[in-house]
Parts: sequence; C-alpha cells; structure tokens
Amino acid sequence: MSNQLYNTHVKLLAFDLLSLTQTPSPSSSDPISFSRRGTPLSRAETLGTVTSRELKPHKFLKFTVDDGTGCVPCVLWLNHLSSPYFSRRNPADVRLIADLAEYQASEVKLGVLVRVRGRITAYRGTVQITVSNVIVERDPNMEILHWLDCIKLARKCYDVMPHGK
Amino acid sequence: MEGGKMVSISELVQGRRPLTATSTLHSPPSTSSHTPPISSSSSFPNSNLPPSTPAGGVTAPRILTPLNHPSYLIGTLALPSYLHSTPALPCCSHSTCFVFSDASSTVCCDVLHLDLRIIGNRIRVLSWNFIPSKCGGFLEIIRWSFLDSTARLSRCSNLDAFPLVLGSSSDSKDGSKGRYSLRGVLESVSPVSVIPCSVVTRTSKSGSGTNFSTPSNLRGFLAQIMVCECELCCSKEGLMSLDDPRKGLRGHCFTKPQILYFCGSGSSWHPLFTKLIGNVICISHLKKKLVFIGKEESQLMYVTTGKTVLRVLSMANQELPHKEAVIKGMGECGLYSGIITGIYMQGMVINLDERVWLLITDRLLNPPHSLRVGALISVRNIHFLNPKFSWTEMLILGSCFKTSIIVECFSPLETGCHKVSQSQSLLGKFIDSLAFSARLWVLLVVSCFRKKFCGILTEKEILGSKHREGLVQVFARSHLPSSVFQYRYGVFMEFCKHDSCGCGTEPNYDQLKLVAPISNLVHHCEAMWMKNQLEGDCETMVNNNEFSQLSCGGRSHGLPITRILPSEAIGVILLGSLKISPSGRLQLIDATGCIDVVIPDLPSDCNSNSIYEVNDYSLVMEGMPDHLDHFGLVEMEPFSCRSIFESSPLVREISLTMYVYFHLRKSSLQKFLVHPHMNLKDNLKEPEDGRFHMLHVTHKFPVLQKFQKDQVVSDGLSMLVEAVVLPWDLFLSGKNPTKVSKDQKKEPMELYNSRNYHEYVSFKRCKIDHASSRLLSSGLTDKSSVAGMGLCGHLSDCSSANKQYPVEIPCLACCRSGCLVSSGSLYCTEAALKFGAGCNLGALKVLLEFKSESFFKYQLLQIGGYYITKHQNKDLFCNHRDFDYVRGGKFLITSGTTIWSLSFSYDEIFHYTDPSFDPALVTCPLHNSQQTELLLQRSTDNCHEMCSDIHLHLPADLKNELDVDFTVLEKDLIKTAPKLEEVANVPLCIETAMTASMQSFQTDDSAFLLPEGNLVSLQGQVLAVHNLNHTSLDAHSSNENYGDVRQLRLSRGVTWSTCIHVLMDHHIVSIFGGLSEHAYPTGFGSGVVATFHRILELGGQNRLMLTPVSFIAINSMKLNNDQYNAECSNPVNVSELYNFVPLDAVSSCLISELIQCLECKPMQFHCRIVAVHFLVLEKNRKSQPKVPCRLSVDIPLASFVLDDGSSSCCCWANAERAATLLRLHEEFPLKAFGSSSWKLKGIGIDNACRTTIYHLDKLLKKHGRITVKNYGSISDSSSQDLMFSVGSNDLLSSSDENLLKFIILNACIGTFWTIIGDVMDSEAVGQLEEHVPKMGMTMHSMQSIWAKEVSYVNPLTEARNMVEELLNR
Repeated sequence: MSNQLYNTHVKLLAFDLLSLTQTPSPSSSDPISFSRRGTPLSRAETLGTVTSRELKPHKFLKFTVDDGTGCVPCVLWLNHLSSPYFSRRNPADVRLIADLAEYQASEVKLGVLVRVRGRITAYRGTVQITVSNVIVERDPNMEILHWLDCIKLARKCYDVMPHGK
Repeated sequence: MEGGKMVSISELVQGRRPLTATSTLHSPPSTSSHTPPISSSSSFPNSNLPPSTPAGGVTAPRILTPLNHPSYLIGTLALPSYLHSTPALPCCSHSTCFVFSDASSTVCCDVLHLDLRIIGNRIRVLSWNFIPSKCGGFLEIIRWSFLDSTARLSRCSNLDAFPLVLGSSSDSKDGSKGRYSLRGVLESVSPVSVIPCSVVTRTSKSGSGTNFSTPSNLRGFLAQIMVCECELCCSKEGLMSLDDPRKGLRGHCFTKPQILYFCGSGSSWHPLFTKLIGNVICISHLKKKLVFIGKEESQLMYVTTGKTVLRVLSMANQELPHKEAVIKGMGECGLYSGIITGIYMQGMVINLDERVWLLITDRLLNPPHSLRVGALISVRNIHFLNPKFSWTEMLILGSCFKTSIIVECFSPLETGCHKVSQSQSLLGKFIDSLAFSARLWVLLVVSCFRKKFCGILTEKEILGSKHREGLVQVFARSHLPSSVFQYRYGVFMEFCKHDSCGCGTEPNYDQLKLVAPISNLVHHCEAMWMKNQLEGDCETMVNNNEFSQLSCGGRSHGLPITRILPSEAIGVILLGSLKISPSGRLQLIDATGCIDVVIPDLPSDCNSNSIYEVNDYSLVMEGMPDHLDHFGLVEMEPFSCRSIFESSPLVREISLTMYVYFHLRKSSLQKFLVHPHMNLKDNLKEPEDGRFHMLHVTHKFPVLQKFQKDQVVSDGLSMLVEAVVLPWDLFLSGKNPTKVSKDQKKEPMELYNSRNYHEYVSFKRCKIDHASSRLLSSGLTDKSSVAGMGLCGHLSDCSSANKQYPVEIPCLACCRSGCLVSSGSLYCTEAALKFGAGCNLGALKVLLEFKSESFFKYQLLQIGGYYITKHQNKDLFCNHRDFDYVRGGKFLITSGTTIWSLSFSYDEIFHYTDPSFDPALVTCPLHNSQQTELLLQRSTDNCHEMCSDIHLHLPADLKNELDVDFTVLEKDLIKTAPKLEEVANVPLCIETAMTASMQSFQTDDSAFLLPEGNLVSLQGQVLAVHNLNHTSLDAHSSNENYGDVRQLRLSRGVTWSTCIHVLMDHHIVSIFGGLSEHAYPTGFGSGVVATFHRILELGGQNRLMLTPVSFIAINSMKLNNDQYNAECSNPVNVSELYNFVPLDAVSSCLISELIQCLECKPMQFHCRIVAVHFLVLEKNRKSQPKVPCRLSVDIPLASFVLDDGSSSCCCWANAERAATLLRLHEEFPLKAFGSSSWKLKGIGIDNACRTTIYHLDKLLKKHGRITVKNYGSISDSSSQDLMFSVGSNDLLSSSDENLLKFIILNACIGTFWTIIGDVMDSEAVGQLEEHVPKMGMTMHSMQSIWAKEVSYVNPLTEARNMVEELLNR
C-alpha cells in the first residue's frame, strides 16, 4: 500500500516537491530516496513556466519550472549517444530517444508553459526532476487545472496515505 | 371526271394556310391507269410519328389541316427553267425545284415517285399538301393523274426517251457533236454550280474561223455514272442494243465511274436526276471533253449537248437492291433513311430519328422544300462520322458535293420549310472549311452564343457579317486545332476527285468542349446529382462530415453531401461575365442564368464588362442525401445537341447549392472578350504616376439584410468596408524610374533621403516635441520647398515648414502585370506624425461605401489587406483630415475609384534594376497540382506579393522601423476588438438592423437582457453547419446537461437559425447565428477553414454568436473528392467531437479510488499515458465505401498504462479510441522524429503535414498485421522494451520498426486525456487474459478499465468542475 505511489508520477506543487524528505539509500541506482510523509516517491509531474534555461549541447539542458509556488529545477539529459548508461540498449532505440530529447529540448524556451515528467533526483542537496519527457502546453488554463489537480490529489490521495514507518 | 372542287394555286397562295387534301387517297383510283403508288403522309404508322418537339418550336406541331371536301388542282409540272414565261420564283433563285403552274400562278413543288412523262404535261393533282411560305408557297404532290389520255403519250417517238432540250429529237444529224452514249447506274449528282467562263464560239460560216468570246456564267451540275466495262458495252453496237430495254441488264457489272456534265439548259434536269440516283439510265448524244478541274488536274467527262436524250432502264429498287451497310462512323459514304425530328440553325442541322445529326452547311446543297419535320427522307452519299466530343456521343451525317437528299414521304405535320441562306457570310465560309464534327461544334457554339449573349450582344456581333468576323468565329478559331481546317477545292474537284480531297476524313485532334449556356450546365449537374442519388452511387458521393456526432441539443441533423465535378468530367467550357449579385455574391452569368463562383485570386482588374472563358474549374454541389426532386430532370439531357439547339429555355427551380471555383493563375480564366460597348477607360488598370493613399482594410460589413428583399431597388443597396487610412502616401514616378512626373513637380515635395527616416523614427520613439524635431530636421531640409508642399488641402494650409515634416522612404513598385516597374517613395503624412508620436490612431478609421456599380471593388477587398487608391483633387482621403479626426467618416467609392492591392517586401532595391522581372510569372507554391486544399483568399502572409497588384520593394535597412510602425498600428487600431457599443455605432442602417436583432434576444431570465461579450475574430475549421429551428432551440435550452445553459436559454421568436461548429486549436466552438443565407460566402460549409470576424463571445463555454456586422471569410477549403487527399491532409483530431458528450452524467474518479470502487457504472479519468503495454494493429478489411476518407487501420486491441498522479492502471481500448490514444489522427511530428525522418519514404513537402495514421497505413499495407509487446518498463516511456511481430512473412525493417517505436513514444508524451471507461471486473479481465497469454503477454496485476470514450481534456471546464468539487467538500 505504501508503495502504491512509488511508480506513479505524483503531482506536487513546487513548494511541496522541493521539501521532500531525502534519505540516503544503499541502492546504487538511486543513491537518495525521497518520501513525503513517509510515502516513498520516485516520479513526479510538474507544470509551470520556464524561467531559466541552460543548455550544454549534447550533454544536458537544465531549466527551471515555476509553478507559482516555487521553482523546480529540471534536467533533460541529451547525452544518450555517449553515455555508458545507454550503451547496453539497442542503438536504434537510443538514437530515437536521443532525437526525441533533442526535439523536446528545442521546445523548452523561456516563458513557455511546460509539463514535465520524470524521476525525482537531487543535485547538491536540492530536489530536481530528471526529465523523462517534457511537453509544451498551449492552453494557459492547464496551469490552473494543474494547481487544482495538485490540491485534489493531495487532499484525496497523498495526504490520506497511511504513513510509512 | 373526278368529284371534288378544283382549287387554283392563287387561291392557295392567297389563303396562306397550310393545307392537305388527301381524301382521294382513301378512294380507289377511278380512271387513271397510271397512278403513282399510293404514298402519302397519312400512311405513316403512328410509331414513326415525329416527337412532339419540333424545330425551334416549343409546342408540338399540329397535323396539317385537311380540306373538308375533295379537291384537286390542274396544272403543268415542269423542270425549273422550262417555264420561261413564268416569273422567276423568288424563293428559288437558283431553282432546283420542280415547278407547278396553272393558269393563275406558279409555285415550287415536289412529287413523290416521279414518272418522267409527267414533265411538261398537264396533270390533275389529286392528293397534295400545301405549305405557304414568304414567296407564295410550296406544293407537295402525293398523287396525280394525267389529265387526258393524249398527254400520256411521250413527246418523243421512243416511249422511254426524254430529250433534255424541249423540241429536240434523238435523231441527230450531227453525229460528231454527240456521238457518245453512257449506260450505267447513276450514282451521285452534284449540286448545281455556276462557273464564270467565256463561251468561245467559232463562226463556221467564214472560212477563217473567227473566234468570238462572250463572257457568261455556265450553270451546270455533274453526275457520276457507273458503267459496265464488258465488250458489249464498250462497243458502239452494244450500246445501241442497250436501247432495247428488253435486252435487260443482267450480266453487266457497273463498276467504272464516268463523269457526266449537264451544262447550260441541261442543268434544269437537276431535280430529276437527284430522284434518279440508283437507277440504271442511258444517256446518249453526249460529247466527250477533257476538262481542267484544277490547276493541274484534268478530267475526262461527257458533256450534254442540245440533243442529249435520257432513257431510264430500270428502277433501282426493282433490280438493284442496295446493300445494308454497317455504319462505322469513320467517314465512310453511304445511304441513310430516317424521319426528320428536328431542323435547326436555318436548316443547316437536321435531326433524324432523334439520334442522328445531318449537316447541310454548304449553301450549294440547297435541300428541297419538302425537307420538313416529320418527313421521311433518304440521304445518299452521306459521310458517317462519330465525333470525338467530350460531353456526348452521337452520329453525324456529313454532306458533301456528292450527297443527295430525297424526300420519300411528305410530312403530315404543319411544319415549315427551311432554306439555307444563299448569301454566305464569313462564318459560313469558315464553317465549310472545317471537318464535319468541327462544323457541328461551331454550329453548337453559334447556338450557345446566341442564347448566352441574347440581349447582351447583337446578332451581328455574335455571328459577324460578310466582312467582319463575329464573336463565334473568333472563339472557334482560337479553339479549333489547325488539323480540322480543310482546304476546299470547289465542286468539280471535290466531286470528281472526291476520295483524294479528304472529304469525310476526321483528323486527329483533342476533344472539343461544349460551350454550354449556364442554365444548361446547372441542370446538367443537377441531373448528374440525381442520377447518382438514384443509382446509390456512394463511391463518388462524399460524405465529408466525419463529425456526424456533433449535435445541437440532442437533435440529429441530416448531413449534407458534397460532390465535386472536375471540368474534365463535365466536358464543357464556361463562358460568361463576372457580376456581383445583389446579395453580394460573385457570379458568372450569361443571358440564360448564373452560377456562384469562387476565385481565390480574383484580379483587381476584373470587371463586369469582360467575358471570361474558364476551361479548368471544379464544380461543387452540396445538398442533402434525401434530396431527390428529380421530376423531369433525369430525362432531360441539357448537353444534348437538341437542348443546345432548341430555343426553349430550361425552367427549373434549382435546389442544390452549387458553385464553381477556379484559379486565375492556372490560366483557366482567360479574358476572352471585352464588350464592344465598354468604355476602355474602365479597364485602365496600371497605376501610372502620382500620389496614392494607402488603406488597410479592417473589416467588411456583410450585405445589409434590410435591403435584400428589395433587390430591384439597387440604389438603396450598398456595402460597407471599414478601413484605416495609413499615415503613408505612396508616390510613383511612372514608367521611367528616373523621371519625376509632372504632377509631382506641380506638387513639390521635399525629397528626403532614407537616412532621414531613421532620424524620424528615433525622434518619434523618444517623443521629442515639435521644437526639437524641427531642430533635428532643419539641417536636412529646405524650408522653402516645404512651404510649397501641397500634399492635400489640409497640408497646403500649413503655412510654415516648421509644423510637420514629411519623411520619405524610397521604394520600387512592381505591377502584377509586370509592365510597370516604377520608382517611388513613401511619404509620411502630417497626420501620421501625430500618430507616430503616440496620438490616437483610430482617428483615421473610415468607412468605405460601395454602391452596386462598384461591388466588384468590395469583393476584392480583404480584411487585413493593404490597398492604394489614387489621390485626386478634393480627395476624400485627404479632405477627411479637414474634419480633424472625425470618427467614422463615410466615403463613397464610385466606379471611377480604382483600388489596387498592395504588398511589401524589404529588398536591396537599389541593386534591383531588371525591368523584365515579372512577378506574375513567379508561381505561387501554395497551389500544388493535387489541389487538396483550395486557398480561397489571397493570403496576406505567404505569397501576397504574387497576388497583389502592386508590390513595393522597400529598403531592407528600414525593415525594422517600418515593421514596428505597422505593428504599432495593428496593435493600436486594427486588432483591437471593438466594444459592442462601438460596433453599433456604424451607420444608421446597420444600427437598425442590429437593434432589431438584439431585441429578439429577450431571455426568460431577466438578468440577461442582451447577450454581452466582446466581439472577437476567430479562425477555424468548420466541422458542421446545423440549421436550427424553434423546437430544437427549445429542446436545447431545456437540456440541463449543457454547461452554460443560461446563456443559451432563449425565448420564442428568437432569430437564431444556424449553429456552426468550428474546430479551433483543438477546441470545438459553436457559433450561433441568425444571418440570412446571403451573408455566408459562397462555398461555406463543413470542411472549410474560415475566419469569423467580429463575432460576439457569449461568456465562455466556447459559444459565440454571429451579429449583423459579422463577416465570414473563407480561408481555405479542403476537397474531399479524392480519398487519398482526404485521408492525409486532414490532421484533425477526431476525438475532439467527444467534447460534446454530456460529461456530467459520468462522475470523475481517481485511479487510486478504483480499488474501492467496483461499481459497474462508467467513470471519468483524467490521465496521461505512461507506456503502451500491448498493441495489435491490423489492416482494416471491412471496406467502408460510404466513408472513403477513413483509413484502413484497425486496432482490435490495445492496452495502455495510465497515470493520473494517484496511481496507475491498465486501460484497454480498441478501434477509434485506441487510434485516438495513439494520436494517429494528429499530424505526424516529423521534427521530433529527428534524424530518422529521412528514412520515411516519400517524405517531402507533400508529406510534411500528413497524419500519423497515413504512415501507419503504409506499414500495414506491407505487413497486414503488426503486434507490439512491451517487455520493458511500464512506468517510464523511454524504458519501454518493445517487441514486434508481423503478419506477413517479411521481417519488419529497422526503419519500419523505428517508425512504430516512435509512434508509441509519441503516444506516451501526449497531453492529458479524459477517458470515460468501465472498470473491468474479474470476469472481464479473465476474458482478456484468455486472449492475452496466447499473445505471449503476462497480465499486470494493476486495475483494468475499458475505454468507452476518449477526448482531450478541456482544461477550463475541468478546472471549473474541480473547483466546485473542492469547494463542496
């Protein structure tokens, strides 16, 4: 039960997401594990305006998403073709993912409204999202809907989770 | 001797009544031993009666009035020139008729079953028809008898021998002059022709033999006799023995053609010989001559002498039965018998048996008088032809100089006889110089033109005269290929060397197209529509509405069907002038009717005085499928020759929406002719030099509904356009770029260099006051010339230069025609400076009023377009400034005002010196050959410079400044949606109409007195147009499921009649309106992309309202006639339509709540796809003929992993829902596919906008069935491990695999979905598990749902619902 949210992309407002509890983990793949009120979390979704953007070509795109309650740092890796992490996978697949990531990176511009999904990670002690995918939302109403969604989910789901140990 | 009353000819002539006297036919002949075989009009079997529609008539001809008492005529039948004593018959100047005369008068006559002995003898005519004509009348002798027994004796001693010249005898003393005889079958007879010649007479009395040459015209005709070449026949003895008829004709083979020339007095035998064709005759006492028939051609022929004697040896039908030939229609010669069912074009075209068309165009052919509708005729030596016409099939009988027409039975009908005009116009000669089918085509053109331009052009202008070519000839010459023109050699040559003259040969040429009167076209298309409907031909009928589920308040609507006919399928050319109808629609009209037209690139020099020819067009018909009003329509063939020749108008109410579209650029539209009456000045379209005002059109008001009922009063009709006079005036220096025009010298302008503008701009930005601006400019300007500046009335008032400073931007103007390349300058006017400094730009807003004579100009203007109009003294656009920013000034645009469209580009214009540059030649890339999408409006973004009349090249270095200026202008002035009260502030008439309309919006709820909201403009694709009525609105308003019912709750008497569903940025909006149908542009309907200008927002919920000032402009239109195009060019998300599913009935639910909730009612989820679990793609084997635009991709089963933030679940879906979730209907994101995209075969410009399903369809065509399984992560889209298996034996290539992977990845990075689904219980999951293990998949333990409906989330609605939900708890 407590792991129900572990593979779910939780929708947390920035202030909430950034204040997740970080615990060092023995696992090598995820050196830090994250939890909210004792509920372990690994994936998150956020939506907001791109307020900063830093591109290292073929390495990564760092950007921050401001959802009105805070800024979530996000990193979109663009090093698929050189990273040993992907070397085990089918090169065609890697190329496809790399192309898609490049395209998504090009879409992330300052001021646009983006929806980001990814893994919750930490960089120098700060929670960030390692982006799986990012899409640009054209409808500004999506932001309001996201807020309401976050409130609703917090009320109906995250806050009512049985607290972990 | 016989009972009855004797009637004299003069009585008949004076009576002027068509009569028949056939009572004797029914009594046995009493006395005459030699009675012609009974053959009369009354012997027609009823089935052979001609049809009810006669030549040129509308009503059926009556049967000839029979005399109520037996009567007879007594007189003499003679060959034409025999009766020297009688005055020449006026109607038979080149008489080739028999004549009948009694003591009182003489008339032309024809006689059935001629007996040679009748000629020159007094006979009693027992049965006859009399047809009056202008020159007296015409007698048709059916039955006769000799008056007395003595007359039965021949004039010659030999019973069967007839001398050609009266009084001569066969006992020739001068054997040397006529010692030849011919015996054989008379095969053909030429028409009588006149040869101008001089007769050389040798006086034999004087020994020296002096020659006298006297000029005279030699009348004569040729006959061809097939003679036998046997020894007997060739010997003189043999020929003599032939005189004995008892020797018979058996054993002879008449195969060798010999030419006989009947000249001089012998020419009068023409009517007789015509009737003898096919008989074996013997002609003796002939001379033999070598006659030069061409410059180098000579022909041996026998020539009649004064002593020539004719003997008829046998009647053809007795001994020489003619063969029934098979008609091939390759131009071969033969015999045709049939009943005349119509005579058209003054007798040049004769319809036989309703299916065969006999052409008698040569005036020499002179057909007999008795050639009347209803007569049975036989035509000998006629050419059979099957013409290559694109619109119809028929058999043509082409007459040449060998052709003879014999009336076998007279017509019993009261129909007149036609005489081909003897005077030959240029047109007549032109027609005769053509191949037969081309002749018929020209005659059809003549008939069409006379109908089309009746009352518009005079007959002389259409047909031409003896010395001047008419419109028909000009048109025909331009369309006929040179191969159809044939050299005419003259009667002798063409008769004697018939086969080598190419007579009857049809050259190879492209199909000729009919020029149909527009009413015929309209009826033809309607008939085609009906025919397709009756035959249930769904393949060609396109139901272009895939949004069939869109509903207005639960009421279902019939879906209109669109059918598009390309011009090739119709096979006719359109010809007419362009007019604007009183309702403001552009139409192609002729005298017979009109049809709406859509011309996306309508040139501004279009005017109603020109006649345009349209070859390449498409005709679009739209109507309801149950529209089957086919009464009298299917039977009608509007493109048949009969319909074209007949003058009866086709009167029928048109009930289909029909319009034609074509492009100017494809040169389908040619200006064919300018009316001769028109004033050429109207056509002056090149702006020369001088000063021009620049306008920017901000809105067009629709035709005022108030006046529509009163179309007769055109004075009251006007159209209004709202425009902004830009603060820039354009000066052109004319054709010589270096020359400054005189006008400009008169109005001295300060010429600033471009640097000045920079300074101007900079000071404008800084909002420097006048004083400092003066300082800035003073160093550059010459004050004295500024003082003399006479820009316009207002500016000339400026007494000093220090008030305002015009700014000049040099530019180069190019005309669309390419003829004019002119240098020019843009000057900032005084008013503009004020605006530039931040004044209210709205002050320059003006209303242009167009009266009916300048509707064309209204039509040309487009919202958002830039235009220039020439400055004139006391110009409105100048003078209005005198009013000092009066809002809403109204200016009348007269027919004298020319408006040119304008476009800009930024160039290094001063490097640009090539005057041969022709912008008109640059093809616009928007129009590809496939024409999947019609660009209906001149685009202001893409290739406007190619469509505009004037293109301005501005210096590139000023681009930024000017751009800013225009942007400021647009922001401040143009794009601002005016408030409602502002809109109501347009002139009185609109205001009235608006108020009237507003009053009807009284609502039940007193809180909503009037609809309130902003006026907005939106562009989108029209999905459906529904007609509402009161009941549906009531139903609508009572439908509580609608989110925003209050806004729609309307009282009775509401004028909303239409609901337009428009897809805009993935949302469907509904536009309600009460506009009359005239306010909708031609072609408006589902499928078009249209811009709705100034429509009223009804407060959220995607509902808008058309107001009386709203204007709809069609941007583009997709044609769904072609399956391929429809499939691939329409990246519309079908799921959009589910926005209209009443969602309130379904409660929303989180996935995490599913575990507790096991109710069987459908739930609503808002979620995203994380991964694809399992997918089967198949080629759709079920053909769907009624929906050809659907692709053949079927998804029998798919499962997706969904995540809504609370948990994940497995969503099963199939068919359309699965396709939607896979985003197959969306445009394929080629960019995101990145470097792999080049591998997509055929990717190019055409493919760029194709939907994903198009690419998938191609894959499935190859492999049939593809199964996809995800063995990887189900919580991270990029970690999916997809495995593919295909139905075909082939392996999936790596590029195909990549494409599939990408499609799945693309589905996983989509946005939010609203999914309505059933929670699957254990039983349902169990059923799926039965299938899925077979596929080698393991079921995940997560909760499963079955998707019933899928749509994108409407965030606004959703957020609203969520707020309510959150507030309530």
